[in-house]
Order: sequence, then structure tokens, then C-alpha cells
Amino acid sequence: MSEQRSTAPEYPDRGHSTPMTVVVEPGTPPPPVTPAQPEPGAAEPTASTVTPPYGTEIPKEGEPV
Amino acid sequence: MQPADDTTKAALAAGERTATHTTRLGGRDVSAQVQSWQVERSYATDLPEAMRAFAGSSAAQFQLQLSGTGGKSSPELYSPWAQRASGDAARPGQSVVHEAGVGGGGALPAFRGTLRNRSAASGSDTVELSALDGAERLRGPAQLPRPYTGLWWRRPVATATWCVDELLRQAGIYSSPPPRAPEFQPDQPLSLVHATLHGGFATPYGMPEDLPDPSHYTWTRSGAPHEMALVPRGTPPGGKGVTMSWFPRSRVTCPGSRLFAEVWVNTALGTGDTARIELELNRSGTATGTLFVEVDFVAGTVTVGSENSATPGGTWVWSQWGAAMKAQRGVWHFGAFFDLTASGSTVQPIVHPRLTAPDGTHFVGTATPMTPGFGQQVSSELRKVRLVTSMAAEGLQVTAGLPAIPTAEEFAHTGAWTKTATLDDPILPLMVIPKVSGSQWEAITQIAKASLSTAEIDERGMFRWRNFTRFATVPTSPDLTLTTVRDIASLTLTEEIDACRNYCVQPFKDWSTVGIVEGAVVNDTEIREIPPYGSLTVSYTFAEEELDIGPPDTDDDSVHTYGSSFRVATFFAGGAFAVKGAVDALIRREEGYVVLRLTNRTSRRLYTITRDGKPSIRIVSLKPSREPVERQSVSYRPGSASERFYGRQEFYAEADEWVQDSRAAQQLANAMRAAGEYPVPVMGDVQVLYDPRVQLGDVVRIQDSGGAALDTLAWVVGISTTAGGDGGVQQTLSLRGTRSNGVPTDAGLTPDGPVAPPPPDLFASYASVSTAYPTLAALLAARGTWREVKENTGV
Repeated sequence: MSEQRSTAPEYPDRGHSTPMTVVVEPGTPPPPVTPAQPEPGAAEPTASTVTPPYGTEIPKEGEPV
Repeated sequence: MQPADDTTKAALAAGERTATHTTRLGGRDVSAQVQSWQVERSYATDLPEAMRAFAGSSAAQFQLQLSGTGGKSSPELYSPWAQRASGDAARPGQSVVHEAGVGGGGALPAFRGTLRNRSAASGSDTVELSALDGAERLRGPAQLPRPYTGLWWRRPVATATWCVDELLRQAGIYSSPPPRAPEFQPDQPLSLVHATLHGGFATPYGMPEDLPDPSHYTWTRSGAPHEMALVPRGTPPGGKGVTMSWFPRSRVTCPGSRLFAEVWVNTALGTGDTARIELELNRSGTATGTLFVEVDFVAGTVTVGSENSATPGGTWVWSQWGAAMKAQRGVWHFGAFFDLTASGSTVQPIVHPRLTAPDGTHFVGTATPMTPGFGQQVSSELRKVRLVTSMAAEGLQVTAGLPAIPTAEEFAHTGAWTKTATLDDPILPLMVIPKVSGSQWEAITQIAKASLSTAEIDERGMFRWRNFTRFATVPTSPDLTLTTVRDIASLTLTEEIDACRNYCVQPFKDWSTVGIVEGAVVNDTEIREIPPYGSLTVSYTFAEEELDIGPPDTDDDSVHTYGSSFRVATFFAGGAFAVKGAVDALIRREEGYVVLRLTNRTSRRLYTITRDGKPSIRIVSLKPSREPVERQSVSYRPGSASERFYGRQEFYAEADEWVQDSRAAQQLANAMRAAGEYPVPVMGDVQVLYDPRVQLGDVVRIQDSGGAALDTLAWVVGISTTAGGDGGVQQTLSLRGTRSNGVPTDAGLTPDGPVAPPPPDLFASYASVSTAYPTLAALLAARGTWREVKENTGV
């Protein structure tokens, strides 16, 4: 459970807040990454498995005490 | 006690005290120029001097007088205005190493630190230098995370020991490998989660989210991969191990990221043989995706997988290392690299694992893409990192932005760190990490005093933390024996009742009934633009009492997140569709502010806008629902021998935020009473023959066969060593007795009571008055008052 996933009703609107600072920085596309050379001795996997899709709900991890 | 070579031991045994030394300034040997030197180290304890206990920190000080050389005076070489070529060796902040020995044996470390000041007297050939030890490195501002998670789960989120370790890490003093990329730099690798598991789940980067039941785990230093590890001792119903999770420091995007997850485990400790790291991805709606790496030391397999809630998942299994995994019990380091880079909105992850066996053998898998059609991941953000382990675990890290899987050397952090701190068993569980101020050293000192611990940096520069448990048991054997016959120059013994404490009170803050409530809610005032591949950074005021929060979730159009969230769209207009998996959200807390950085990972211009065309950034802070309740734990034994002989003597420990648990408070109170129930002899400062092996905390045996008939053990709580120009060395030890001289018996004594017996009756009796005054008339004739008659004065 988290503050982001609270099931509580929507928080009341307490008005708006102007940020103290706002900085917008332009960017550039990331450079293409050269694939790393295979490491000597790296091993291929020996088997693969397929798992069915799991439920669409976020798994619950128990309730707090 | 420091280990010494045979020559030194023989010289000390023979009473040899010809001292030698080696002194380096900035790595330059100036031993021949040393006129005199002095090293002082002692615990800054608040506890009464005659208590069988001590606490606090020790910062050693080194003073040095230096002469000139090569025909130049010392001020000419080392004064503040000296030429840099020679003067920088003595500049403030320069490194100082001093070693000393006796009898031609190898010199033992005596001091390692940095210069504080220099003073040169013109016209003389002396420059005076003073230096402080590694505590100087802890002068940075103390900062500790304050996650809300402990209050949410009502479970400990950290311990005081974890806090000490974190303060040390901030100063570059490590007890285990540091985070791979702690500092944020645009387009550079970044540590998303770094959980040392050194007595807590709190993290400087990331934030704990799910805490396990304390009955399912414990902490251990014995067998820990580096310093301390979480050891499962129970498995929750239906689980494969103890489960804990963290929010990442930045919710990085998928596709587009490269993630490396790793942890150390000890297969010889725990309840099982599996460990699994999961990376949970937040897709549109309530759908999720999961990337994971799992090791199974019984099956001898390493499995790396990608699963989700919509399409079949896929895993790759490496089993060729099974023989080593089954045969070598001990510390393994494993991790996996997940390459999620792709140009579209879906990605077939490329994965490969890496392991290091206890014997140092490296195993690495080839970079293997998921089989098409299986394990596909779609637009999402990293939401949570989860560890499920049935083995001892330490040092979970998740790093984003590495160009490739670390090499074997990088994986092992070779050359990236040196172990310079040792801790003790974790103490003082915390549901809320207290606010700290001042320097890291001041915060550590405060924790040491609150927990009856000691903090020091030893002669080799190693930080050492020791709990109150060090004096829970009375030592029975000494590290060194000092006798008045040969070693002790003078000895004065005193005993005082002020040190007796048999009614000990330890206050604590009880958070067990405190929850969390929302604090101030920030709703942005404007719809903001995030340029292609660019970033938007906004900061808002954040009250000090508000607890840390994780990065906001990225909203979509099917589910509205009620907590901290934001939503982005490609158009500055209401009704524009939400975009998932496009913006990294990084949050950090600075003095009085929360700073949110949103980085656009796409070539499209994005806007922070809700579906109905309003600003979408929303930060919801959390704070404790109320103040904790202050309670007390009392350690007292009614009618004890201590109380009979010394009366009831109270010790009321200072109330602070570091004790939050009744059990811990009771342990402290009990330790205090055990240490103060009977006063121990105070030995004051004892001048001894110089022994370079003696360290703070050593147990020495004091034998005085001639004077006080003393033969007892004592802790060394202070050492002062002074060497003059003539080569003579004086050493003075401050000692604390380890035990009292038994329980008083008062044999043959009949102690007088606190109040004197009533004096004999001096007043006049009726008989004496009637004798003196046979008739009433005679009495009246005397004209005395009643008092004069009764007290027989003047009548």
C-alpha cells in the first residue's frame, strides 16, 4: 500500500500551489548505444519456460498490523 | 590492543621504553624533524565517572612540534607564508600519519588524520601543528531519510545502527559497497534503490514501501557478506521468503531504460535456498509488468524472466552453474541486467545474469532476448523493487542507465571502495527516523550517548561502533597487565556514592499508536511543457514535519491515482490522451523543499495536463497523525543490597527521539542499573610505562601490591601519550573499573542511624518541681513562667 495507491476517497482540493522554482531544460536524443561485445565465457541459457498472464490487479502484499 | 611483532613484545616485556616514531605529512617523511609529539584520545562520556559504563564518541588529537632541515628554519619551511613547495606539507587539511614503537620493533599506528592548524613563531626553529583524526571527515551536514513506511506498517523501518552507517556513508566511510551512481547527473547512470540492510530497510536512494513482520527476520553480523545482513527466520504463509519492497528514487520508463539489479546473499544462513529480485512496472490502469531474477541453490538454477498481466510471460534458465551453486555454501553475489531500450511502445527485454561464487569464480550469461511473443513489456514506469529471500541478504541495489552489464571487476566494486567502518549488533528499532541537525559527527555522537554506545576512529583510521552490550558482561581476562612494581608510576583510588544508580529510568517515544495523515496538498498552478528529451524541474515548499514521499505516479485515462501523481499528454488541450512510459519522475528533498524533475524520454513535446485540461502535477505530503506518547521504562529491584547499603539512587536518562521501543528502553535501563548498582573505584589518571599497543576500550589489569592492595580489571577510556625531545615517552591512561569491590558486609560494624537518638530527659519532672516548691504559694512566689519551671531555667 502506498500514498500513491490509497483507496481513500479523493483528497479535498486545498487550493493551488505555485512552485518556488521552475526550470525547463532542453535535451537531445540519447546517443545510440553500441552493443557490448559478448563476454568470454558467457553462457547461453539452458532452458526457457512460459508463464501465463497473471491477474490484472496489483498484487497485495498483506495488510499492515 | 593492537597486535605487535615479537621484537616489540620482547622489548615491552623487558621494560624497554626507548621510543621510535615515524611521522608523515602529506605522505612526506618528516620523522627526523619531530621535536615532540602528543596523541590524546578519550571518550566524551556523560556518564558519572565511577559508573561501570561509558558512552559517547572519541576524536583523537595529535600535536606535533617540527624543526627545520637543510639549513632552513622550520617557519621558513612550514609557516602559512612559506613556499608552497615545502609549506603545503603542513597546510590545514593535509594528511598526517604517525606511528610509534619501542625497542627497535615495528612501529604501530598511533594516529591518522588531517591537520587542523599550524603556528610558526618567527625567530625560532619550531612550528607547532595540531591535527584531528578521521572524525574530521564527518563534518558534513547530517541528513537522514524520514520515510513514512514505519508508521504505515507500524513496524520498525530502521535502527539507530542503520542511521550511524548511513551518516558514515555520506562521509565516504563505508562498511559495505557504496551505491554505484549516487549523484544525479543528466543522462548518466543513477542509483534508484540502495538498501544496505544494515539493521534497517530505509534507504538514502529510494524509499521502503513494504516492510516484513519483525517476527520473520533478524539481523546478523556473523556470516554477513560485508557487515550486516537480514536473516529470514520465518516464512509468511504462502510465501517463498521474507518480502520487502522499495519505491525507486526515480520512476524510470519502459521502454527506454536499462536496469541492473543485484544483491549479496549467504546461502549458509536463513530458512531456505532461494532469493528473488523483482522490478514491478506500472502500466495503464491496474495492469503491471514484472522483471525478475531468481536464484535457487537447491535446484542450482538462475532464472531471469519477464512477466505481465496481459500476455504470456517468458523466462530463461541458466543451470550450467548448478554444480558450483550446490557445492559452495557461503556468500554469493548475483544480479541481472535488463535492457528495455526500444524505439516503439513495446519491448522484448534482453536479459543476462551475473554471479560471483564464494571462491571468487564469476559466472555470466549471454545477453538473451525474450522469445518473441513471450515476456513482452509495454509502456510503463518502474514502480517498485521487491526482494523475496529465504537466505541472508545484504546490499540490494538497482541502478539505471548503465550502458551494459558491469564487468566482473565492476560487479565486485573492485577499487570503488575500501571497508573503513565496523558496526555492532543493531539496536534501538525506529518507526520514525528522528530529525538530525549539525554535522554527521555530532549526530553520531548524539546517537552514541542515547544508546550507551561508543564511536571512535582507531589508530588505523577505521571507524568502530560498539553497543552498550560491551559492558553487559564483566570481562574476566585482561588485554594487558599493569603493576605498580614496574608499570605504574602513580595510582590514586577513590570511591564515591554519586556513581551509585540503582533506580534507572529510560524515557522513550511510543509511536505504536501513531498513524499517518495527509499534510499539505500541492496542486500545480500551470500546465507546463516538457521539451523533447528535455526536463522540467519544479520545487515546492515542504514542511519539516512532513515525511518523505516517493516519486509521483504517472496517471493514465483509465485510473486516477489519488495520491501524488501527474499526467502528461502530447497536446495542450483538454481531452488529449494520456501518455504512459514517456517521463522519468525523480523526486528529492532539499532544505524546506521537495524537488520534482520530470524528464521526457521521447521526441514529442509533452504537457502536464489532466483530461479536463487542468494542471496535472499533484504532490500529497504525509505526516504523523499526532505526536508520540512519552513513556518510561524503569529498572529497579526493591530491597536490593545496593538500596540497603547506599539508599535509593536515581538515574534519569535524557529523553530523546532515538529510543522508540519499550523493550529497547528496558534494555538500556537494565544496562544502566547493572553498571551503576554498586560504585566502582575511580582510578583517575594512571601514569604507566609507555605501551604503544594500548587502545581505547581495552581491558587492563591493575595490580597494586604495595599500596592499595588492588588487583582488578579496568577499561581504558582515555589515553594520552607525550614524547619529548629527549626521546622519553609518558603515557597516561584514564580507566573505568569493570566491577565493584563486591557487596558491602559491614562485618563487626554497627552503623549509626541517620538521626541521633533522643537526648536524655532534661526537663523538670512533677516530683522535682514539687520538691523545689512544696506549696503552690512557693511556686507562685518564684514568679516563673511555665517554660522556666518546665525547663528548670532561672527559677
